[in-house]
Amino acid sequence: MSALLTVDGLRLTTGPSTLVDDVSFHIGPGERVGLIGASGSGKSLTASAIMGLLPEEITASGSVRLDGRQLLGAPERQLSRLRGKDIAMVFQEPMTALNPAMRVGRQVAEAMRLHRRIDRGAALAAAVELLDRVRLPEPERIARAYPHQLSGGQRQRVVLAIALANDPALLICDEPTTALDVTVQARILDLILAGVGEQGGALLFITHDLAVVASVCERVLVLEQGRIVESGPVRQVLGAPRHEYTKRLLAASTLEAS
Amino acid sequence: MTLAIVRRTAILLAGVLAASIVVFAFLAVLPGDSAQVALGVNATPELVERTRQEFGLDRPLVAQYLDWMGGVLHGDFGVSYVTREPIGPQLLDRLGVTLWLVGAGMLVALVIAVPLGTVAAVRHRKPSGALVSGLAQLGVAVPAFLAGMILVQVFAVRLGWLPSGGWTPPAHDPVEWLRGLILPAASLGLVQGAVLTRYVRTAVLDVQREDYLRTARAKGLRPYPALLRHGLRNAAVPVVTVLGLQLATLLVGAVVVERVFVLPGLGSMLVDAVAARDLLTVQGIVLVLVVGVLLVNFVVDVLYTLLDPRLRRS
Repeated sequence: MSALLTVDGLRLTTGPSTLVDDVSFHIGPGERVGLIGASGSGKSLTASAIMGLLPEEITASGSVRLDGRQLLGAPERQLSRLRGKDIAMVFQEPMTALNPAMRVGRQVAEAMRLHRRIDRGAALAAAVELLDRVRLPEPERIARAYPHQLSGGQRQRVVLAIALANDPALLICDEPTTALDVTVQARILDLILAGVGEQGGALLFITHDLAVVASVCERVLVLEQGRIVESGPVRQVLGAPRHEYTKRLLAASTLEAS
Repeated sequence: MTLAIVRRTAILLAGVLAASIVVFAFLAVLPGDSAQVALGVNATPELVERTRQEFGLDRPLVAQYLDWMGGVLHGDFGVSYVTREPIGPQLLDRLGVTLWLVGAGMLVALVIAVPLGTVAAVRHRKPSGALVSGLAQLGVAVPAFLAGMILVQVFAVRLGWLPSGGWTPPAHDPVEWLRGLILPAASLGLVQGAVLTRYVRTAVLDVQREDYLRTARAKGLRPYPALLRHGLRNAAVPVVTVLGLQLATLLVGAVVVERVFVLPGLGSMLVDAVAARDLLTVQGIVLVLVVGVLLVNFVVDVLYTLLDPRLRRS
């Protein structure tokens, strides 16, 4: 089975400091991979590097390939055609991820209109369908609402709807439930799994919550200070951690749970 | 939203009322008698007394105020103590000139500031962005009258392309009117444009850091389209605030530029009225300027609610 996403020797630097060093991994089609680590370990930067949305001051080297196409250093014109269509992303902070001055329906419809020949009316109708697919009640009403009229959980569903709009081959979720209520978290996770499951999409799930990784992912990568220190099937890594850092992460989360 | 606009209209009307009382009271408590001031030191007491009666200055202040305001509401600003001519028609004529000047100046400022500020923000790490910022910084330091004099030197005196001053009513000769408006508008607008460029730059920089812009990029929008579709409207909120303040400054500050370019606007009328000690005319002009500023604030408030749906709850 050839990999969908291959990250090889990814290195991210800013000025003299190295933020991510020699990160290599791959994700197969339809595979669900977790990326765990403490805050500041480089998880989100790795995701941004894959999306090609790194802050200007950060330099990337190594290689990121999607279906064999090199993404690192590819021209913006080419990357923007992939973004939102082949790779999509759900962000951590639903409260700020949506444009406050644009109706929700238009923001979802825009994701489709950018990558397909579809007129405004049809895109809006499809947007309402998508909002229904992420289980938003009264999707027609929500489509006409502005983000500030929705709750955090509802906004994250909208962000997810935008990400799923073109059935991406790879969905990257960067701590999608961290900012949400515990009661809402489980439902969002279900929706993410259902969303990628329906079309056989792959998932890169970034979190520091080991319980979430255990319930969502098949395979897990442990990042510490910009390096991958351990990787393998979830059961194996979380059941019998070999690296000291993973053990500490696990101990900390068990403490939290008890 | 309608409610919000009704509320702001009420605030506007209350503001106008308060302003009219302040303007009237301020000139009423000034030392010296209006009639005496207008007639000069050599006037006989009898003449002063007769003039006072003629203009109703011997009545109680409240009655004088109500009389004045009642007239103003019908466009009647009274009769000048000095020229004995009705103030209203002249005021309206002059206001038209000033409004054209301020409007055109603001247009020049916007045409300069929006594209330059945006480019300066997007390329803030590149030399071209720094150059724009530097030029804006320089422009801020130039006073409008100096800009006006330099523009006259270059485009009127040396090149002879445009008139160095004077006013042609637009209905009279639109082409000549436009030619006469270009230099004054440019000298007002260039400086304000430089100030505004810096605010546009800051607003766009702030918007660029917003999460929703990253979402827009993640959808597949390229940097400039993402900024245009998702950034400009949000960046417009702080810019409109500054624009409102600038318009108020321009309205009052047009005095200087009207002098430089010999324009028959409100500003030069005010300076003339003050010089002639024509207090009732001064009172009328100041009221019109204050109402103008209040109106600008009102429009800014309404624009906020149009730009940012979060402000529509009320």
